[in-house]
Amino acid sequence: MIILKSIKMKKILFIVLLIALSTNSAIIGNTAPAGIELAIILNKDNPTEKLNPAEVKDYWLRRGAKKKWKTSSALVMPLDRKAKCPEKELFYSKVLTLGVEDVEAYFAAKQYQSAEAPPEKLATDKDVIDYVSSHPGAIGFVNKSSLVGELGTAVKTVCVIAQ
Amino acid sequence: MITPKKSSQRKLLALAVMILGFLNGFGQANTSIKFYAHPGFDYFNSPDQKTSSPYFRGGPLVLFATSQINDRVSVAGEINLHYNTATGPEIELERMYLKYSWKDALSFSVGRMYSPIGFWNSNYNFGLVLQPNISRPKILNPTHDGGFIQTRDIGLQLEGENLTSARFFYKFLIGNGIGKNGGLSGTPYALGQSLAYTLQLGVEPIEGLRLSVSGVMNKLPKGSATQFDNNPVSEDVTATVIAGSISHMSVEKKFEFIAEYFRNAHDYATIGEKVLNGGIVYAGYKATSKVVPYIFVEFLEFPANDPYYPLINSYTSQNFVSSQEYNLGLRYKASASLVFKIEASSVHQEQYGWSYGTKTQVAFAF
Repeated sequence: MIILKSIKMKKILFIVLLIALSTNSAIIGNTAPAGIELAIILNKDNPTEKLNPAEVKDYWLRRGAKKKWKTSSALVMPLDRKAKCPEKELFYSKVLTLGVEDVEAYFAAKQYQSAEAPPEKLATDKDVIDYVSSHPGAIGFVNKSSLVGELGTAVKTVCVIAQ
Repeated sequence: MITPKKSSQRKLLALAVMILGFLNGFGQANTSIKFYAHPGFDYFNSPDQKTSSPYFRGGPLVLFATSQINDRVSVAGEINLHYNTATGPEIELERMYLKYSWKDALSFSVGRMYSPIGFWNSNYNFGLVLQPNISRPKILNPTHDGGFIQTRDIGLQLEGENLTSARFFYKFLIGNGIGKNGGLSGTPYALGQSLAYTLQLGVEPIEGLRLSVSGVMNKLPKGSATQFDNNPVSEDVTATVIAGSISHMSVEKKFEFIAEYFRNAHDYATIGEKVLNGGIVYAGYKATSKVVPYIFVEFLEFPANDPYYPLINSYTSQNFVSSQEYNLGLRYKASASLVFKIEASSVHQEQYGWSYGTKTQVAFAF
């Protein structure tokens, strides 16, 4: 009886292991930090007013026709964060639904295949806001709470991602 | 004494330094310089030849530099540094081109670039950290290594993408062709007399799924030099390549697939058409984001008595023979810049019989 139970347990463990292996473990998703809101920001001169998360994903990954802004024809310049941070975790899990390694491999392939530059990586929300405010085609993500005072008026928010 | 080869290498090295200086001179924040390498170890047992061969492969060190000069202009350079056991250290310029992106429907590239035939040739080559398996398909071996079809060329390429909702794309390359493959170091009197034309048409109906057909037309008048320098063509030849390709490679999808067929024909005025057929099939499944088991199968089918090919391939010291290869592999992506691959391999070469072995590779970028 105990042996039978043990065999059953092993089967269950094996199935659990298989399921665990078959899921995309590198996606940061489901571990995104609680309590922050993410603002997707564009340059103020970019005529685009609103984007949904799927559009943000396509523009940020520069997929298909989303290499240039439809409304301004400027080149899309995605911005990333250098180090792991709550904003990056939330963006990767909720918007990209991809892991860090997957995204790096994706842009490395694009660069090798067609000389497309990978995203610029910046250290802080302020760096991202400064960069977006001075580059017409830039798209970045910052903590919504960082958009206060002068920083808040330097760029435009086109999408808000909440937990 | 400086031999012509060494002199040529020095020129290439100087060119490499110029490219780097050129890229650096733009002072662009997004100028990127990357190195690719992929050493490995193989062990093969050939019962028919009664031999076994353990072999470490050093692989080349490949420098790849890109820069986005402005919204419309980007440049890329790729230099391959490797050691040839017969001739010593060598430097080869793989790519160097400038691309002007006018609109989705039309971009221009000028310089040395990969020929737009199929999916594999335009996407992998020396970035083996990106390539799903260990070895480049034999049908796509570079001509400067004794390969069969021209995988890169110097010329002008027009291309367009994302046309209509089916995401139609095209590439049209006017290049020097195989008769002028000497490129930068070619001797003018030995060059061919006409240009080569390559056209690729395809669609990407859903993200990552690409279907394309490609064709190359290259006329080689009698006496034209080919990749086999000591074997100029004995009469007028029309060389054509037709390639069909289906690929499904997406960062978001678990199933990966590439199937390609190449028909490389030499049409002679007197002896008619001689056709080399080649094909590959790759299929992989992302069991996790890091682990991908896969299969890779390829074949080459040589025509009998095509005078284009010398009796012995001077690059490989082997006969040109038909072959089949079956590989069962496992890829482990430790990170985007470090990938381990292992393959159990069975290779059949006409005249040599079957070989069985294991191939391993550590591919990395830095």
